Amino acid sequence: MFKLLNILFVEDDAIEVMMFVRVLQKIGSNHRLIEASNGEEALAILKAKEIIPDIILLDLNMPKLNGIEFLKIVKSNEATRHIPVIIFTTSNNHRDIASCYKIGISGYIIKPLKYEDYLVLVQKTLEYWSSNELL
Amino acid sequence: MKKIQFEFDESSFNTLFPYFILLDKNYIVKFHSTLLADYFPELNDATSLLDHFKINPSNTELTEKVTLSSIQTKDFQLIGQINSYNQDLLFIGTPNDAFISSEKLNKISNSNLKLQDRQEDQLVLLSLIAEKNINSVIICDSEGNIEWVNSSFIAMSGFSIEEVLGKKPGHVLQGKETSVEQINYLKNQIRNGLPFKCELINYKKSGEKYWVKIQGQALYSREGKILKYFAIEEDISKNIALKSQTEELASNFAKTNKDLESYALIASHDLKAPIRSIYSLITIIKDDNELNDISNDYLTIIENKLEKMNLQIEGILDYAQINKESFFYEDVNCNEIIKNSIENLNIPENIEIKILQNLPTIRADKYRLQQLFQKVICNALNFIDKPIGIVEIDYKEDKKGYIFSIKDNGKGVALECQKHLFDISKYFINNNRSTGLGLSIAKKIVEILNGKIWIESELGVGTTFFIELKK
Repeated sequence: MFKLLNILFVEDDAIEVMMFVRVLQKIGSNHRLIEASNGEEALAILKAKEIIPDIILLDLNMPKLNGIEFLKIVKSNEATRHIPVIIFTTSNNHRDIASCYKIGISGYIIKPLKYEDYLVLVQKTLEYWSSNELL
Repeated sequence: MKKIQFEFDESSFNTLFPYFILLDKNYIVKFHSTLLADYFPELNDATSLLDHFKINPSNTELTEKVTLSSIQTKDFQLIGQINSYNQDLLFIGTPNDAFISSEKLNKISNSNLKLQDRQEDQLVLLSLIAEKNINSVIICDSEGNIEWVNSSFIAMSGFSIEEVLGKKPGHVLQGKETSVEQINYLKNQIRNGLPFKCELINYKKSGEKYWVKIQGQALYSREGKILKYFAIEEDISKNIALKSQTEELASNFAKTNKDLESYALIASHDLKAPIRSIYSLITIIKDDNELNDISNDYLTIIENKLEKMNLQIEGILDYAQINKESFFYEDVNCNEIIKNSIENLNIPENIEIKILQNLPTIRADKYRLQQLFQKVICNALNFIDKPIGIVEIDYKEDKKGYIFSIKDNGKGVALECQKHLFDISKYFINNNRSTGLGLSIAKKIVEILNGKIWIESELGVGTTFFIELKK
């Protein structure tokens, strides 16, 4: 019943990417991971249209094009606005949360300090989205 | 010494000449200005000047200046005059180092002076006093042309007497940056014979501009005819410069403060990511390797330290994120707020939270108000040391606002710790769950809401937090 997802993972921190990959292995997921280390790179991937992601997991704090700027572009573009974007960030800033929801996100996950907690959150998020009907 | 006759009119003197004292021929004080009494509080009308000012009558040449020292270390130069009529002595004084405050000047200009019959004598006296005034004094004839100025005027404006005599003060002093509105106001008041008072820009002979506070009025004859105009100008350039400096300083300070806050925000936020990375890597190292017990323990210690660091950073972030501009005011039902706060907190089973009455609806930022109550309730929970804990929430209402109280039966706060309780620079970390910044955050929110927070506490019995919020 779980579908395999194409996940666009937008994150600049190599350790974060490594941990996410590790979590995917640990929970035995076969989702397809597309990595982008900043907003510009992620936009390039979306533009190329070789793979259209089912969901986007987005870090907010990134160099060049930051998460919110990237989100605005995705949500204002007819071709990409349907893609659910879930924020993965360490920022619990009230203003960030509010502006993300205003622009249009499908979730806001605060990355916890503990690896085990993180694993649970990633697992639940992916389970939820893989049980959804997606475009 | 010129002997003159003058009629003594208490109120006129008091208002016109801030510092004077009138003695009879035996040096007994008959009357003195109220302002002089400000500097010599021990003065009263029956006191002998000899005792107070240590004047030796045989040595005192009244043509000489007499310097008085007040107990408030203000020196006065007094100049004496003898009344030829009854031998009274009048001393008129100028403080050596002070200018007359504008408040005191107000008193001067608000009086309506009426020259008596002996105008000439009065004028001599007037000009003597005016001469000693630290402010510019200008006397104009009934046409408004300068008839006399004092030496302070010359010092302040840089013009000589010859250069200004017979001219209109406005023509001499005002210039292109002088407010047209104020000039018109002055013209209008003078034309109608009314007292005037305003602040405006004057120009020195050198072209340098300076700010003055000008006050003055027409002097009337008994028949109600305008005889002279009289004006005092106080140089307030320093005040104006100081005011704009203060404003600039305040705005710089606000900006620096803002910069610092956003710096704290960015720096703390940026620290969270590496802490998280280190923590995760440690977990991974533990997972991947069969480490000996000691190594495992060490790694656990590092994890604990990281957890504490992370909490602290979250506290700083919470604190730094609270700023006035982000407050959105709406009607907030406090019952709801307290309910949400309790739901967000993990209330231990041995602690009961009682809400003693239906709470009011107040105007505040909903999110911050909840944060405020949550921090205070959380603090109460943390300090409960009894087997059964009770937290009581109540409020009182008065005309000005609401005083909420959060009372616990915890261990209480020692008196010496009470004053530092809300102080961000002296925060205490008492257990692993706390950031130590909760009460600093509470205080910051209360202050932005224009309220007050304080405690009453007894060691071993409990603590009550009071939060006063204005209506």
